[in-house]
Amino acid sequence: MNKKIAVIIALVLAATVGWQIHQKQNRDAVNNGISTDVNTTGEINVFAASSLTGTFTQLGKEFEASHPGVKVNFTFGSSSTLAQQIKAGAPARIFASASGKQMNEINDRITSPQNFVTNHVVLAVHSPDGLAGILKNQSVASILNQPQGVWIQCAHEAPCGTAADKALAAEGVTTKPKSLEPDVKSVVMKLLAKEADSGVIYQTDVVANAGNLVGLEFADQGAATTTYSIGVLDNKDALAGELLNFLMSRHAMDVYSKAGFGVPAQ
Amino acid sequence: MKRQRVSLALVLLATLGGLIIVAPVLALLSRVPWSHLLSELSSSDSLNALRVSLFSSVLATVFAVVLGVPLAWLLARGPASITKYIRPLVTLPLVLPPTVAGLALLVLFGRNGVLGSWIYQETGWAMPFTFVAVVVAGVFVGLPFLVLVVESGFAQLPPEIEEAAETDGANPNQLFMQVAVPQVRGSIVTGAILAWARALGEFGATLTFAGSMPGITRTLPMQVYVALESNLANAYALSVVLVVISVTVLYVMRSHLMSVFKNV
Repeated sequence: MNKKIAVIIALVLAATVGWQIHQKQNRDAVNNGISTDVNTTGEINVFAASSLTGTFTQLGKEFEASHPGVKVNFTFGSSSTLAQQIKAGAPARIFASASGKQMNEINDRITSPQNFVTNHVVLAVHSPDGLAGILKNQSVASILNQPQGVWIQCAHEAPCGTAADKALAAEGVTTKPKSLEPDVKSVVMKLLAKEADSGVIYQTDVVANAGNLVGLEFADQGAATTTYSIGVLDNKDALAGELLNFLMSRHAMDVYSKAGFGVPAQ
Repeated sequence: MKRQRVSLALVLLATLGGLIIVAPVLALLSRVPWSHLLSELSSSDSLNALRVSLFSSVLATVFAVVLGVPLAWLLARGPASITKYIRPLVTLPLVLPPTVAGLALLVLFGRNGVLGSWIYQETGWAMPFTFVAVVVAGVFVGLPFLVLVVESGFAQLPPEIEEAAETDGANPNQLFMQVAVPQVRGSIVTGAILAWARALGEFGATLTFAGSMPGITRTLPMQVYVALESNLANAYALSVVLVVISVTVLYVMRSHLMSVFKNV
């Protein structure tokens, strides 16, 4: 009995340690650039803001198709959480953040980040029949100031909430949101469930839900806009560099643009 | 000499098991900003969240007791052919992912919900984004704890006392209120405290169903989650409040808990 338990413990420990060593060897091989073979094939971990989920997943598959032997693993999440994880040593090789702020927090790890797309918040309302003419002529304030209306936004602490606060400041809104949701996903969910009449979300969320939502632009477009930042953790990492180039390519820009992102003019 | 009853292997496994539970919490305590803990906790956001959490969880517990003790009684004394199918349903909130629980509440009570749309048409009132929704979510997740514990209390009562009371002419309500309930007071207290602790820690269901408005629906766990984005010291300070409350409750209740688990 005791022997059996001891054997099980030993096996579990051995498996754990073995896996760690295997991972470390992979990392070392990549970091040291032992051979070009290892350097441009294998798995590559990309950390990216949640709002990039759709576009990056598509582009990742395309990259894998044109690079046999490469597997792109994405971790999507809140930019500040991802930055914290990278700071704590998470094995990311590319990081794409929804604003420059989180990128700056790890400027000792990513030395040359670059701006790549923009996104902006809009007031999303339900659209049973597309962007109806009535809505087109209504301002954000006229919708939000309806006494019976329920509107929501992200918490002031979250990036989408900061953008919403800035954009709302110039609108002359006299009502208050019914909820300050922790992230944009939960705002979108409540809009789709029709528990809220309108909500401040990203343009890309509106495009992703084009059948159900339309977005009204804020007057202060500059305040409503956030610029995404992307960079590699190791400037000598050839595979990461190649993937980064692909994610910045003209073709990638078309993909972002279709999803509702703002891209630099050609 | 007494024969040794534990082996090194068992001690090792047990220690690892214990550490997996205790070590993360200890690590959390190491980050708490003890020097300015009070100022972190007395910020208006913290106080609001504390108030919402305490009031809603206590109210949820009251409702859980009022509704749950009769349910436990029926489960304990009802025909087994029926109760065996109902009992697993009562425990559903224990295994349901909180977000799914919140979604289910939304689909029932929401402005467009099965029941909620009717309420909204009749009264113009919608439950989501209100304090009521926080309480309802708390009842939903807390009720199973109360029902399970109290039912096990009822199940252990010697049937002779109830039979004697019936012979003496007690009606069903008297049997329940004056004979059965007083004998399971301990179980009710234990169940209520477990339900309360569960409601206090609830996050996913509350967020999905009630939203997160400071002073109205933003509870302590939600405030911790929001603070993670901007003010880690505040998140640690609020976490320690939740840990202290939980540990206190568990220690105060330890003898009751033991007796419950022994009899399950």
